Amino acid sequence: MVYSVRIILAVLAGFLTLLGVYQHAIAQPAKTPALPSTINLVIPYIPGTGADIQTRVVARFLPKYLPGSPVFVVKNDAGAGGRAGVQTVYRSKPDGAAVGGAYTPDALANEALYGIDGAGFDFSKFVPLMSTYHQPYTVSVGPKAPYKSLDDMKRPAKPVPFCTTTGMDMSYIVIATKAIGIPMRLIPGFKGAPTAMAGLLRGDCEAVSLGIEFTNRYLKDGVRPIAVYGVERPSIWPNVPTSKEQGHPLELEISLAFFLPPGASAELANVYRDGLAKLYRDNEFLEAIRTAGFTPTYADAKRTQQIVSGLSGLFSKYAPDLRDAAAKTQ
Amino acid sequence: MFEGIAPALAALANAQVIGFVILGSIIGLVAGILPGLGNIQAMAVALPFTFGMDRLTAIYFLSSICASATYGGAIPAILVNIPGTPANAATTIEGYPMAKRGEGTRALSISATASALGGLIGIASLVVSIPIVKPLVLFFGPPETFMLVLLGMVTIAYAVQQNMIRGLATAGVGVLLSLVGFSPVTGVFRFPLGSSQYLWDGIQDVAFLTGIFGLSEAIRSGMDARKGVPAAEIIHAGFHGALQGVKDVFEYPWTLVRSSVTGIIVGIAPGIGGSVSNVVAYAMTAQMSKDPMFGKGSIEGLIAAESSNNATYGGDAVPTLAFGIPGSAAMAVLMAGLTLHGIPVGPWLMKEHMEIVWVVVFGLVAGTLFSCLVGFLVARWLARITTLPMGLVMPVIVMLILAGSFAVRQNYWDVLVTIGSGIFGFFLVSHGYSLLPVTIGFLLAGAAELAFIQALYISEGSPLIFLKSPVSLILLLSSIAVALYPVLKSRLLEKERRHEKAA
Repeated sequence: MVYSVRIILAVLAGFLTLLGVYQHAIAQPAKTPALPSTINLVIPYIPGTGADIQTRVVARFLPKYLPGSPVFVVKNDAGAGGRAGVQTVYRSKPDGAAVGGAYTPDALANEALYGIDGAGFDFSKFVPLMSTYHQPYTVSVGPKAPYKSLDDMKRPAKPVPFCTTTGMDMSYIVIATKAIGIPMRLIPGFKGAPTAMAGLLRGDCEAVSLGIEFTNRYLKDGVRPIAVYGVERPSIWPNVPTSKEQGHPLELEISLAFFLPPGASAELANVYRDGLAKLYRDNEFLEAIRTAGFTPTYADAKRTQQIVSGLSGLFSKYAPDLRDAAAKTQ
Repeated sequence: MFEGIAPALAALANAQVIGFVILGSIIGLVAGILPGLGNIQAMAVALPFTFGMDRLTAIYFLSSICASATYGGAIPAILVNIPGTPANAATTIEGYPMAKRGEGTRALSISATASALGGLIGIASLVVSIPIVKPLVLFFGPPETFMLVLLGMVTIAYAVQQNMIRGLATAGVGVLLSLVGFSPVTGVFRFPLGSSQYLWDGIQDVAFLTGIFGLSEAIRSGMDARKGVPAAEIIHAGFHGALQGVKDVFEYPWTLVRSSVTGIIVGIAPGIGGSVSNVVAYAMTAQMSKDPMFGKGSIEGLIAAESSNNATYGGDAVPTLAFGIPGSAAMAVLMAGLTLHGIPVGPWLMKEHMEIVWVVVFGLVAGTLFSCLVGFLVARWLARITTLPMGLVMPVIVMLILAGSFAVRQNYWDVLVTIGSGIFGFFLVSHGYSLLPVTIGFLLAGAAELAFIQALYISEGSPLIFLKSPVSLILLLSSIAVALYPVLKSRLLEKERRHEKAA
């Protein structure tokens, strides 16, 4: 009997010791928070778009730079002009299982147009990780359009018709034409930049405003660039004057930002930030992005935050014009 | 034009490439068979696996997936009345009655042959149009697209001719359902029905179509306590049945060509794809056919439905390869595959990378032929599903329908939409309404609205824009002809009857 009690006490003591060791172990501050084994990389765009392609390359190469090499699943939560996917991430638990990716101007344009309640998210509350695909916006005209400069476009016989998609493209047209003083009318409803470009070449409109890398593909077909919305001439268009050179110091840029849901811890964000910083130094990854036809730029979280703040100010300033333009298309 | 053929064919002679084409075709076929999945999902999942492949192998792999899913979707459409993909909606109308009367093998074989031939005609059109491809793409602006969709919508005239009021009412319901969600042009949220987010992008095609066709049929089977087709009633079974299906297709060459051309034209127009060509070609054939079996298992109707949706890929590829404008969502994913492998998609693709264009062409051909060959060879075994007791099959089918509806967006509300559509479809059929008008209205109204409003924006409100281009004018006249055809036909018949009486 005594023997049994001793055994029980010894087992109990051993168990308590192990429990103590375990509790001590779990009470230690984690150096790197564990990531879920499967992570959803949510983007508000359909498969096949530029953002989708770049995100898929990131999803392919990023795991090796994160603890536990998690599997990334790209989720195309497209819809409602890019609001659906951003809202999905906004509502996700900040546990690292959901990472968002979106064109910063797209998300902020939605916020300016519909307000925080209407858009379903407050972009400033996301935890930024980094941004990429920074490139200036441009304005170009069709082969038969009579314009050669922004000044020509300010004095048209009739308001200049612009073919446009939604979100970022439409917002940048409204902001730029308002800032420069170009009378214009929008022809909305084009599904994607290639369709808008086809509209331009067909003569549905006289002008488009799109990113420089994309527009560059269509120069051989007769698309004529009028201005780059930046302060310096980009290397791929050395002969196209900037809007600043034409008297309008306007900087409009695309950027594809990656972020965590609001409330994500700094430790968790740092795990991703470190991984992404290493990824954007990986030559194999950079080559894959270049092969896909994109220029792999990199801005860290701090710089991304500055981009977001700058764009927020710009979109707040022009929010009434954006709403007015949207109302006119209704 | 022919400069890239040699490297493209040389790549296809490689055993590894052949292996990936076969694998891609099987993946596409399986994705097509499973309700809710299709080539878009299959290709999106396969994309990352192509990183390690060389570019030609990767494009062959993706093209074969792209081409094989639509035939895969015909299999459940014929055997259990569930369109495997939205492009097989009209296939159910003729394929399933054939399977129910014991001709499943024959129907599957007709479908495989019509799909293969339709696919080949579509791809041939792509090859033929290469020299004139750019002007061809630029022909289809918003006014022309509207007129093309209008031509599709007037085919409702056939679908309603049995009972005009009932037909128009259900078509109207289809149009109303398609208007739910954000307007594609103005951004106005219509018919939110109390939903703050779910209906933003309207009612999902897959959720609606699998419900209205598949689930409604499952409910009907349950209500009738339906048994499987007795083995003794199986006709045209075995290899003989499959061969009969091949012969059947060659008996309707005009239907095959006309439906394939419809599929190609729909494919070239941006934003509308196989789901539209399938119902439009079917309805046009229904209008012209003299087959008394139409709507009850007509071979001609099945040929029209299955050749048109497969021919659409050839048309879809025209704007995709010529201009970088994806002709459909599947082509957008194929474009992503090209881009990932450093192939610049856009207007210069045909100038600088003709070998890639040929790889896509041969990949689509190989995927179409392989999947249809598999379908043809296994038709006699697949058809045996119809002999199983429905009490055994239907629970599995219902599970597949609901899982498929959920799989597209991982959204439980889609499952509810499927259930609601199933009950709605059951109600329509049990009260003598046809599912065709509601399907045409649902699939076409959104595209019609977008093109119509865009055209008016371009013309600053002038409707004359619809009469300015020859393409638009021809399409308008065709619409008038198609709309008047049933009326003229019945008047002519009446006249003939009077003459006969007088005689």
